[in-house]
Amino acid sequence: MKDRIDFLVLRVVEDVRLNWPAITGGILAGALCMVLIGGVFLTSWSLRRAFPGWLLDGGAAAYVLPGVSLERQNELAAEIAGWPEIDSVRIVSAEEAWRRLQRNFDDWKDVFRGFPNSPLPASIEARFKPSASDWTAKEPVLNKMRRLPEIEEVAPEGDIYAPLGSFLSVVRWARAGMLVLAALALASIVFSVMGQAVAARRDELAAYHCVGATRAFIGAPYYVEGVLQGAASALVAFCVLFAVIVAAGISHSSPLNILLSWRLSDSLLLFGWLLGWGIGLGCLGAWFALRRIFG
Amino acid sequence: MEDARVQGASPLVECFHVRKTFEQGKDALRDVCLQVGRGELVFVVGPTGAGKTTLCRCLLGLEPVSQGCIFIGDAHLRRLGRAELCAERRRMGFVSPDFKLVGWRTVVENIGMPLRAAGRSNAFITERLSQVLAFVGLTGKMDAACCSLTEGERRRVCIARAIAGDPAVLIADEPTADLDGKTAREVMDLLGEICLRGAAMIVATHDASLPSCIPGGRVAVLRGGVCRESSPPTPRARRGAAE
Repeated sequence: MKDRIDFLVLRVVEDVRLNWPAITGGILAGALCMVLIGGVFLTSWSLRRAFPGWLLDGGAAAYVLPGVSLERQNELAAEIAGWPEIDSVRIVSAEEAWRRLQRNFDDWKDVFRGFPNSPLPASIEARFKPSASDWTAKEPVLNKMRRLPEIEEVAPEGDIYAPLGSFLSVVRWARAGMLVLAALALASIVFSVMGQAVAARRDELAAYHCVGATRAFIGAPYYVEGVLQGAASALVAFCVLFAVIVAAGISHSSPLNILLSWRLSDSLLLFGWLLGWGIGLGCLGAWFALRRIFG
Repeated sequence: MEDARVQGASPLVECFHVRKTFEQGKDALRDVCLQVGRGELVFVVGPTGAGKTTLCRCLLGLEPVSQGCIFIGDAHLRRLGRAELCAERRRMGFVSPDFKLVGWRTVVENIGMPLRAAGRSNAFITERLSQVLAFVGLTGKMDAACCSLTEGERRRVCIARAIAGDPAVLIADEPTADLDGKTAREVMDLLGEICLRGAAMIVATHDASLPSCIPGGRVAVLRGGVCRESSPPTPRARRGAAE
């Protein structure tokens, strides 16, 4: 087994030495694609952190006055749930609201530690039916809520973020499109480089084919090269993105800093994500290159 | 060396009514029946374009046959999977008319290919290579690049690579093409010696005088894709004909 692995390594090294300009070009071009893939990842990650899903749900939160009993909260919830425009109702206790806030703003946990109890009020969250989702239908219902005696304040959650919701939807589609394009570009780059390497060794591969070498034996060095090329591209792209994150985090003011507040675990996640894409697409490119030769 | 040919032993290579039609609709082989036993030598003689190379490629499993069947030992080539076909090919040696050598690689690297493909250890490969190089008389050229060799030497390398894996079947397609008379004779002597060691050998050639180089070989004439040998069909041959 050791001899086989040694021979495989020898073939890979030999091929890299023979084909290094194309491989280097492939790694750099691949890194550009990976920067794009990583940039999409960063953008969507930051947006998701800055605008969590609950902000965009489009419901309303009716904050209950302090001291209102749970029984009365249940009665109020039942009353609101009975209105024709309301789809569902949920009581959120002060403790749950506090936990939710801490979870969503994890970076401010030191600030939260100063509070022994939840400073937030309990609330009744209401979701509207799709037929009552526009503002003209919502407004009378919100006013009706405000008139309930134990309700201190009513906040329509989604309205401020409604335009943002459609923007995020566009971002989501753009992200999918860019990912597909970048993935295709990276696979094509690996395919071209590997195709060149395979074509340069066509005679040798034909000779191996004649003497009974399996496809796995013939293709193994090219798969290894594809994986290495994808991984190297991922590493270069990660370094570039990490430098951008660090530079942006230092030089920009608070709002962007919140958006780009980056932890070590996030960096590892980004690297893992890029590496996974790189290795997968490297393998795919090598597979296409070999398939073109062997059919 | 004692003549080890065993006439009439159970065939190692059997072709039954093999037909090969290419995509363009051209029949390269129309009805080929052939049986070769252990230690037997069969010359397949025919003019250029008769289908000799196609027959060799079909025997190696490099081309699938359109009809009929080929057995190598007990293996029915058409029924083998890709990996099994590769394993079967490793039991065969092939001397290609265009050498199929890698010019920039050394003699030992070229000869070691089937052994590498079979996953042999470095120690085994080294030992086997020294035996094979001595057999074909290329010990002094072991580190020479193949592109620096003469035609005759390259043919020897090709033969050495074909026998490196100690094959049970050796197929030589035009082994003396482009060689002068003396070198051709040397190559044929080499092949004769391999056959004496017990391999079933098929030599495809356009040169009708070549069979006289090795006495005891049978001759089958391939013309217009049709080739039949005179030996009586075995029970398996009858089954093959029925398929």
